Amino acid sequence: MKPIAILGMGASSPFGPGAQALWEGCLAGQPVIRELTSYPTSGMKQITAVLRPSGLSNQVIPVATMAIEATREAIAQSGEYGARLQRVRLGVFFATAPGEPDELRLIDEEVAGFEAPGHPILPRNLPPDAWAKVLGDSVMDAVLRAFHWEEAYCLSISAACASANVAMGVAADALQDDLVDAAVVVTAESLPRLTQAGFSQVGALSPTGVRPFSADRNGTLVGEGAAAFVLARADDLAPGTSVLAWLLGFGESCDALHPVHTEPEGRGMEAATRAALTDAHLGPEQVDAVYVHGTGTRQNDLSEARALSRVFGERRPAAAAIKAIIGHSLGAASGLSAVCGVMTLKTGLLPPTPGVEPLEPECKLRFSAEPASIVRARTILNNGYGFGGINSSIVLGSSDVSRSVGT
Amino acid sequence: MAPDLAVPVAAHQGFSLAEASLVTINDSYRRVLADGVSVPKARRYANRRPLLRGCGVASPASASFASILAGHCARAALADRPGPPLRQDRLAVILGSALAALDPSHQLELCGLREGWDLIDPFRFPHTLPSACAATVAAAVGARALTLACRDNALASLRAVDLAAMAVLHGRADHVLVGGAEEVSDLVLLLLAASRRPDFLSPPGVAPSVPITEIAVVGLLERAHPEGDPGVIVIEGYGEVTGPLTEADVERFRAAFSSVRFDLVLSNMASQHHRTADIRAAVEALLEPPTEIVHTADSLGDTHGAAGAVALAVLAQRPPGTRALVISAGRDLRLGFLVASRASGAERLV
Repeated sequence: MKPIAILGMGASSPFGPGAQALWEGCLAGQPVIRELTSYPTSGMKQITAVLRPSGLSNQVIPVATMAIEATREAIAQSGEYGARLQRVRLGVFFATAPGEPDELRLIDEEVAGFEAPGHPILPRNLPPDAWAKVLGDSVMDAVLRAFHWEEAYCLSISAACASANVAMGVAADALQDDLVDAAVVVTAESLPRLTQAGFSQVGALSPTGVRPFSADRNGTLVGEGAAAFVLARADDLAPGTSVLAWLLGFGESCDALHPVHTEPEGRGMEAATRAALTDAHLGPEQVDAVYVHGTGTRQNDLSEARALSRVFGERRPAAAAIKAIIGHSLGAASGLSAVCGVMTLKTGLLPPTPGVEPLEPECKLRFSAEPASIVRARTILNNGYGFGGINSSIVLGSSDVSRSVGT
Repeated sequence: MAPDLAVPVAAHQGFSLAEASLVTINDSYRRVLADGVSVPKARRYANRRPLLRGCGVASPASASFASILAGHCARAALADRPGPPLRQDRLAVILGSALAALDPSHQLELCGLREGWDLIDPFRFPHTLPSACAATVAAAVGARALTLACRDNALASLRAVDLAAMAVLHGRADHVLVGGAEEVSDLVLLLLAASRRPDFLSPPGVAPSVPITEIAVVGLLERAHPEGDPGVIVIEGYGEVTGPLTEADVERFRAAFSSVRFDLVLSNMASQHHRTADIRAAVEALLEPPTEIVHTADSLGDTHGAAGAVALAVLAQRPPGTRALVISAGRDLRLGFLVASRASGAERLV
């Protein structure tokens, strides 16, 4: 594909609002694991999650607020281009994984309450707008309202925990197809109760912490977060426009195997990575660093290790797994790691992956316990995988890279 | 989106949608919901098992019913395609659905609240994701390329068709199983009754005036044969209008309608649907005989996210050479327009 410019980005993470806060928190490498208190957790096997540090004022921030603030930051960073989003054919591509909107949770509580013996559910006990709220994407609607984008083309994409990467790819295609003139990708996840309970039931949660690609890894932890990006076609940029980074390629595949488990050999993951590299007109040897999906579960990391070993062969590219620090923010996960990927391209630094030692024997990547300075960081591979065997990869390039590849 | 039909008409010229496969489970499951009806605690899937077994996924009883229907359709669409089997790594699945994940989420939430979170079904949990419907279909037919779901309510399957065309155009897949699938759960009926909307609410004992329909329609989208494929549906373009219909929009439609001849207009708007009355009237005023207009909701009910795909299935029953404008009205009266025709085989599509 033709390179797509990333002009602005924003984030909200366990380290608070702002891409810089996320980046500094990841560089510091201290995960913040806390006990869930935002809803009753009685009966759940594991109730820890990656949440905001207690020093920050709001432990639980509404997911819409996170999405709006991340979007506002991305627009502000886009400068003059961001200021004219209102006047062009704008596409808003919203990415989320879970199917449990907050409105449904509230209604279910209502329903469960009324269904005590002798108290049938009565429609009149539910609010008249419940239908619209449950069906609507309340977070996307909140973003559209906040920026007066009601007239924009808005697409709500779900590709499980690969959603953010997939939304980036679809937005890039829409820009190239002239479907829209500018694109904003927004992804946000809170900590849904059902997701926490479901991950617990499928045995995916760790009782201790997330240790991606460690031989001693024992599961993941759910986290919260949001990320947003302003994307533009290269041809539309005025001379002198500041470009943060380039989206060079996108690839997706499906294991077509199992609702939860990944294909053990990582063939689908490999296919997604190779498709993204082909899309970017790059070879594996040109990838300088990898932001892995790295959930910390036994099977997912093993599959990813095998996939990347086949892609990179004897090479051992530098890698980072930020879920070790901020947990697994589901559909937003690959969006948050893309924010860090752009920061790596700008600074040459790669966040540490705490707890990675001893390394999974089949993993050939080079993780670091300390911020690692990369001599040459011009291209980043960013992976995101989801339930249903949905695999995605995007390739990001530094601000000067599009002159040499992809065009 | 650009409200000018002339632009998107040319955007995706040269894609074909094989005759859509249509499965509808309607009267057997529709319930009349009046005040005081309680949602049963018991699982309601016993009468569905023969169909569930047919889908070939690992844990079929856990999947949403919409995904089972969609898997059935996908298999039929592939079986109908002549020629050698398709390369699975070039076969994608893009489905539009707004309701498929609701019931699994609702059931698990109720189970957690009533009986304890450690009792929720781990096999059903993945189906609380909107993308599970597409992933289940991918697993059922071995589709290993792009897989995603579009959640945009009544526009969902029209947008899915547009995304599928885009995926083929960009080389991300050669063939896409595309369409829509919806599931009617007790929760949906409860919420509709709670909405007190006159177009959905009827006196007790009378079925809703616009029944919600459980349905799946899946077709196989791929590049059209250069010499033309008789009978297939050719997707010519897609566009949207946002917000309430303005006079300027109507003028643009008039200009577009004067330059493009349609034999058939297919809409998802029911005749008694008060919210879309203005749009229906505006569209009908623009049409000149012998153009026929069919509101699919009048005969099939509200097929919601599957509506666009349902319209294509209706078009598939029409004679070759029929050209149709498919209109779907979505949330906030956002309108999607798809131009499609049933190829006669005489046209060259490159």
